[in-house]
Amino acid sequence: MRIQVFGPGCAKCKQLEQNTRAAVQDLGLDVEVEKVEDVREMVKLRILSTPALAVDGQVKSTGKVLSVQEIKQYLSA
Amino acid sequence: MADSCCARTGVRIYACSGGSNVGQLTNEAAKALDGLRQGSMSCAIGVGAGIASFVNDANRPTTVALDGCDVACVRHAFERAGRAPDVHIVVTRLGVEKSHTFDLSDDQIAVVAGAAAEAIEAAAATSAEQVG
Repeated sequence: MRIQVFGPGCAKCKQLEQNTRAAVQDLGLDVEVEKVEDVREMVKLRILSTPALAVDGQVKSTGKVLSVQEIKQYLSA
Repeated sequence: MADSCCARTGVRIYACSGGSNVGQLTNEAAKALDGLRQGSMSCAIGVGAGIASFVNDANRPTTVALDGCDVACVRHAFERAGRAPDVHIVVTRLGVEKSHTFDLSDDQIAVVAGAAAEAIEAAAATSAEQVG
């Protein structure tokens, strides 16, 4: 599983990253959470609003700080 | 609109939006950068037409001109308005060959948007140094 959090680095992006790491820990997953700040990578995935979350290359959410519970649902699906 | 973040204020982006692949790439890149809050897309044609509100905006930092090719219509529009853009990107210099086709790939849009984002970041850093 590949988990990516997209955002240039503001407070909301950091919060989504923290929530994602918490969700990974709660689920006991042995995966890295990758923080992506490069606009090129965002545009390639057609992410036009940040923060954003992608799982295995599929964009799950844009422009929103997901809660830990919401992220857990995406990671369990 | 979604609850986005990371907004970069005071940056205006102008695309040539010309009748070629590279012209249209500037338009797509400008829209992407606007969506990612790297700046706010404005109207290059308004600057070129000499419309006061656009010319006034074009004379305030930070302006980003995206030209498809070295004809550089946006840069010339700015110069006619009295000021060179703070950031100037030319798509053909990024390795995209100009043609009269409109099959634009996400990778090409990403190349242009990425180059502009890096230049905007550098301009912001320079501006911050001058203020500091």
